[in-house]
Amino acid sequence: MPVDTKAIQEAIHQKKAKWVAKPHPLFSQLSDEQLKHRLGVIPDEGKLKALRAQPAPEIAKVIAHFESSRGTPYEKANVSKEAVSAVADRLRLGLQAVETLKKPGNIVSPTIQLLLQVDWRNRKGRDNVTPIKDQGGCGSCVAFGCTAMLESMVLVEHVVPLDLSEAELLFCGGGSCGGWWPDSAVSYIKSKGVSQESCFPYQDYNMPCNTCSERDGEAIQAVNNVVYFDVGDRRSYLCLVGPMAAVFEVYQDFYSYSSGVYSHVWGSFVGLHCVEVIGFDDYENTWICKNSWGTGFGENGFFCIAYGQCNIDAAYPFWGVYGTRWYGT
Amino acid sequence: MAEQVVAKSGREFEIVLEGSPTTGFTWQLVRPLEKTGVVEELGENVEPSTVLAGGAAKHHFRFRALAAGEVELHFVYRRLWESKAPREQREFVVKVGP
Repeated sequence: MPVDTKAIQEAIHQKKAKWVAKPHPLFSQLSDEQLKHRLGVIPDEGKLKALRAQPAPEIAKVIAHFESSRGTPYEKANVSKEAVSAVADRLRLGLQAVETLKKPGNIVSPTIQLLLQVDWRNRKGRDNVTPIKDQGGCGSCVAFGCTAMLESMVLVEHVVPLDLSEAELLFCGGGSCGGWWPDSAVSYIKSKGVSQESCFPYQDYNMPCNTCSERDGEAIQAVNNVVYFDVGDRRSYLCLVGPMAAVFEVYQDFYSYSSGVYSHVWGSFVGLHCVEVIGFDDYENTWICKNSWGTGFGENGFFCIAYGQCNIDAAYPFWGVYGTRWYGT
Repeated sequence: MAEQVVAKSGREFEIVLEGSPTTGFTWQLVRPLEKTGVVEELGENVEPSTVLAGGAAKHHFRFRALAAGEVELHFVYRRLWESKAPREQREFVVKVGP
């Protein structure tokens, strides 16, 4: 029996999912066999195992370092044990408050609300997320997700809007349109930085590394990075430092996402995708993400994905960078 | 220019198209499939070619040849939410022999 949007909506309803699917030709007249067909994901277990084996930087130290070093060179930031201890206390109290306040009927003050809802599009009184871009037909999501994160951190730390070059990050950093991994992108951001879009404009096909002659004078690098598997650490970093990059599993129904909180209800696995995570919402139990599929996708290019869905917060970590500065300064 | 596929009646066959599905682009069989009784659609699946984020994948479309004859299959590579012309198109002529 053919399947149409109504069938997907029914699956959304039955599974109590909270998103809206748009009608489109792909889901019309599909066979039962297609519905049954699912493919398993085969993540790069070796890479993930190595990542998990690395000790994650203690979140309280990272936040204390981030806060202490604002306005001073990061290498010279003086982070006392007392400052770290104070941050740890704040985090512990914050998480306790979240657990208490998530119970129905509790009244939430605006201050505490900042622990439950984080959206860097409206944080610290300003928008810290750069405009939606479009990666086109090239598998360059890692460059887009990580560049978006770097652009956000320049906004968070320096209140400067920049349009940085995904092409440089991808094609000079060792990636290609055939896919990449965020660790490599973050390494390049730390060692070389990323120049402006005008220095190496993006095209959605494989290109040789070819930056402009002014490259070193206009590139932005980040001094520090984190990789977090622990959900509490991800939340705390997003709450108190800034946006991050994430990897998740894309299934066919994700193409139909229009609005709401996405959860996988239908279709087979098609591949891993990288995006910028710009916040979370504990009332809706969702991560808020910036995609790189143009403004026509989802909610003007953004989407929400439920906690625990598509391994976004389980199998794969979140990556963060901070301590942004002009290259070599 | 249409590509040719030859199949025997009663046998299953696949058409495999390469793409990069995490860009949002996906292959679709333009419907309705001509109801000639020559070919029956069995299903489709996407097989990632790599464990990298953003990697390529092969889109498998499975069919069964039903009876001798000829049918055209038209595939488009596009984003479902965009009204632009498809980024790529492929056409196949399936000739089913007895």
